[in-house]
Amino acid sequence: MQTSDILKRVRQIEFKTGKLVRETFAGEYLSVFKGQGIEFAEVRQYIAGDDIRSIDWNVSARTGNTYVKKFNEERELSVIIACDVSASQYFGSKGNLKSEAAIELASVFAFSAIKNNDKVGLLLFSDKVELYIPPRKGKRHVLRIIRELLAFEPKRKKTDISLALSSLIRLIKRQGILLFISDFLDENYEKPFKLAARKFDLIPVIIKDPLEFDFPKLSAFIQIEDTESDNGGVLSGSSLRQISQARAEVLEKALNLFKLSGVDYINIDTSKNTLDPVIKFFKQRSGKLGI
Amino acid sequence: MTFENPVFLYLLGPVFILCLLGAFLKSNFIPRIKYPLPKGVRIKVSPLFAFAKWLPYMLIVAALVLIIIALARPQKQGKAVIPPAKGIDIMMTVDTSGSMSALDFQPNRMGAAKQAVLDFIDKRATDRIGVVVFADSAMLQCPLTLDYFAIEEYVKMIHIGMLKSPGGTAIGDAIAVSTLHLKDSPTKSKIIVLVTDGESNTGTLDPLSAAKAANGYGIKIYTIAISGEGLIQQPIQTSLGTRKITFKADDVGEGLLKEIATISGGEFFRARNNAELNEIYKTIDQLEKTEFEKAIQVNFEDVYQKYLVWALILLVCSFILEKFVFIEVP
Repeated sequence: MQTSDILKRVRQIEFKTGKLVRETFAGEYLSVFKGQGIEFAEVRQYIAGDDIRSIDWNVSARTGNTYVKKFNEERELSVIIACDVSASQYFGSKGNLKSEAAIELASVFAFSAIKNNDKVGLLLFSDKVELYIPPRKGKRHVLRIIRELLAFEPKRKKTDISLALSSLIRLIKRQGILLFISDFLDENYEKPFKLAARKFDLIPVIIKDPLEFDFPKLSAFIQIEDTESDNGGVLSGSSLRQISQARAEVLEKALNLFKLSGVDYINIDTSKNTLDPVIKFFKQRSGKLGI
Repeated sequence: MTFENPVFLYLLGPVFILCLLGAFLKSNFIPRIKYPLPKGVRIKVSPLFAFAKWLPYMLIVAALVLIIIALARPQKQGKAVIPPAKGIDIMMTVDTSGSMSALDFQPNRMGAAKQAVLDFIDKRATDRIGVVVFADSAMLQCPLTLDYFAIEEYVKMIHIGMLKSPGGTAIGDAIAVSTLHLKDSPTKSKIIVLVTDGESNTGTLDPLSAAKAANGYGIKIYTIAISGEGLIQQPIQTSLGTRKITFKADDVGEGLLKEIATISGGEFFRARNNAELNEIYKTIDQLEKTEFEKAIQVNFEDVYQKYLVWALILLVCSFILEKFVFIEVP
């Protein structure tokens, strides 16, 4: 992609996600992602309508007027977007590529975060950490993150979720929200996953394509090759069943792990609207929190 | 089979190299759909596919080879046709006098002579042959022709007494009639094969003069005397039926026949039985061998259509296999 194309695409994403961020997610985001606590800001005179519970009795007694305490929510949240850029992400049968869906999703979260004055950081990984941008505030920073997401060319093909998670645990000192976008086509990442779930507000995002689970039965010889290795050959009926079965197992395993770790996840299908599951996620989560 | 443009066969070389290159590319650079596979899934190539993959390719290669062969213009050699003028002229002069019915040959002299003549005709291919029969006079039975079928029919019709009086043997007249029909022929080599069983005892022409005349026209005369030895039986028709008479073999006028042969530059033969007679005709056949080699004209028949049709069939088969049976994606 050329720079002008990338910028155009960034604008498109900004425009597309802008309305969502302003309207649909505005309240949800704020309520779903709570800050660490509340901090005292100031006292001011009571105005009719103020909650009587917030009246500062000490100050009121001393001055003889009614004063209320005012608190500010502490919103120094940092949102880390960890995105899988392994070769398996560059796949898609209908609508979007998996990577495109990932970018769209990451953008929505990044804009939402910046709207609420949160910091946004980015980590791109394959079987190594390809790129890390520490969390910062500001619109320029978000645009840079989106630009990186669009233009980044990974050096490696394979996926190592375990390494990405343990790197994140090491890198990010403070707690925060970790949006972990991947197709979870990997093994042996349970332990760092649980650690990360404990440390961060971990939101795994599974991106999948329908073709991965169900290959149309063609009376033809289909030459396929793994995106991440040399493994390849001709699809026959038996290998087709084997593949879809194995893929379903991988997905099942990941979902089980999410449940076990008590995290809410977002499940995205490239053939469908990318942002619907996000809205669903916010609703689900706010329901859980009793808001 | 020969090729009109064998130069094109050199194309087989580049085609062979191209085939190897194609096979190399086909087995090493396979277009494949990139597909995220879960770890631990291994895909094997099925043996059916391994076979199906190469079949259309091999058919195309075979079609290509056939097309190149067609391009080289294969030809089949047709039958050698020799122009008639190149052969020689032969006049078969056959005695039909009464004595030809004698039984010292099988079935009799006449039958044996006819059979020998037919066999002789069979061996010739490009010579014009005519038939003259004689007894006390001579007659053209069949003029010089290449129509061997007709000649054979005419020879089969020969029988004793077909001329008015079967009594005499007019060798002089026979030679004269034969010469008459040979002399105007433009052919270089002309021969008369005279078969008789008796001395010349009648006729308007002296045999030796006739022979000289024949020689003057460049005609060779081969004379064959047919007569057995010892006592010879001969059936004779009488008013009371067929009766056999027996007589002693004579010398058939060998002297005269020899002289005729010598004068005209031919040869004299003496046949005592069927075997000898056949042998004599074979000898004459050998002596008058026509040289074929220089006169050969070969007709070539183009047979490339067959190759093209097969190439087309193979191409269509390959197409059907590739597009409808062994479909490969991508």
